[in-house]
Amino acid sequence: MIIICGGIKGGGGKTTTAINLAIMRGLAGFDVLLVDADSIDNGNASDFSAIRDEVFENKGYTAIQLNGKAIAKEIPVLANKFDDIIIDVGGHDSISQRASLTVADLLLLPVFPSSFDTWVIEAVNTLVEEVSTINPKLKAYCFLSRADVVGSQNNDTSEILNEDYEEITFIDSPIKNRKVFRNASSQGLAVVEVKPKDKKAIDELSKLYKTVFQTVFKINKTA
Amino acid sequence: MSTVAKKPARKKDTDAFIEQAGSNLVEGEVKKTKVKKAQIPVIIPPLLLKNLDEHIEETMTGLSRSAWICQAIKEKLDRDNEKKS
Repeated sequence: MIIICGGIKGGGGKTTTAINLAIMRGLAGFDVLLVDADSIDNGNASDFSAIRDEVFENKGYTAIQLNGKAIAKEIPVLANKFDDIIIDVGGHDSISQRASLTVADLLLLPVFPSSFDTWVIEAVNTLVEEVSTINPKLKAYCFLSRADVVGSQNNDTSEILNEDYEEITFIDSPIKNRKVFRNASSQGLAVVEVKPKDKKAIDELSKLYKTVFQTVFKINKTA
Repeated sequence: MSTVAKKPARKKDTDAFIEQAGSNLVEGEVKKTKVKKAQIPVIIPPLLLKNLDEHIEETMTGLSRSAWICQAIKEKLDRDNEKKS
C-alpha cells in the first residue's frame, strides 16, 4: 500500500504520523519504505531516521529522500519491492505532494483542531477531487491530530470534518497531544517503543493503524 | 533504427496536475468545492443493518457507518464501471 501523510498546512502531525506508522508496520513484520518528500530540510523524517540510525543497527524500515515529479515515476516501481510505502510530504501544495497523490492508495490527513487548520481542508478536498480522474483508486482520510486531551474543540472540529468534505472521509481516530510523542521522536523511537509505555497514546495509534492497514497492530519482530 | 529520438511524449493529465502545485490556494477556486453532502433516507432491513454495524465494529475502526456505506457504494460503482469498459 502507498500512503501519503499529507496536507497543505504545517504542524498537523504529518511526520509524526508517518514515522510512527512506518515503525509500527515494520515491527509487525512488513517491509516498509519511508519516503521523505519534504523538500524543506527542517525537522523532517530524514532527521528522525538519522537519529534512529544511531539507536538501532536496523531501524526497521528503509528511508530515502525523494522529491518532485520523480515520485510519480519511481514510487510505483518501488511499490513492487516493499510491502508498504509511507510518504511524508511538506505542509504545502508542492510538486512532491501532487506527484505522490497521482500514485498513492491512501492520503492520510492529520488535522490539528483549530479553525485555520480546518479551513485548509477545503483546498485539500479540491486537490483530491482533481487527482481522482488521474488516480481513481486514491482514498483520503482525515483525523484529528495533536488533539486536545479535554475540551470541546475536538468535537467541533470533528463535526465540520465529518460533514463538509465530499472527497475526504473523516475517521474517528484522534491522536491526542501527548508528551510521549515529543519524547519518542527526540530519542529516535516510535511511541510504541517508549518505556514506560503510554497506553493511551499506543491505543490511539493502534486504532489509526487498524483503520489504515485493516489489521490489528501486533509486534512480530523487534527493531 | 533512428539515431535521434523525438522528445518523449508526456503524460499530459498527470504532468498538468503536478505542475499546478501551489495554484489551488487561490481564493475562489478553493471555495467552490465546499459542497454539503446530500442526506437521503435509506431503507435497510434490520438484520442487514445489525450485520453492517457488527462488521464495522470488528473490522473498520474509526469509519462511521455513513462513511463505510459511501465507500462501499464507490467500490461497487468502480467495479461495475470496470466491467463495462
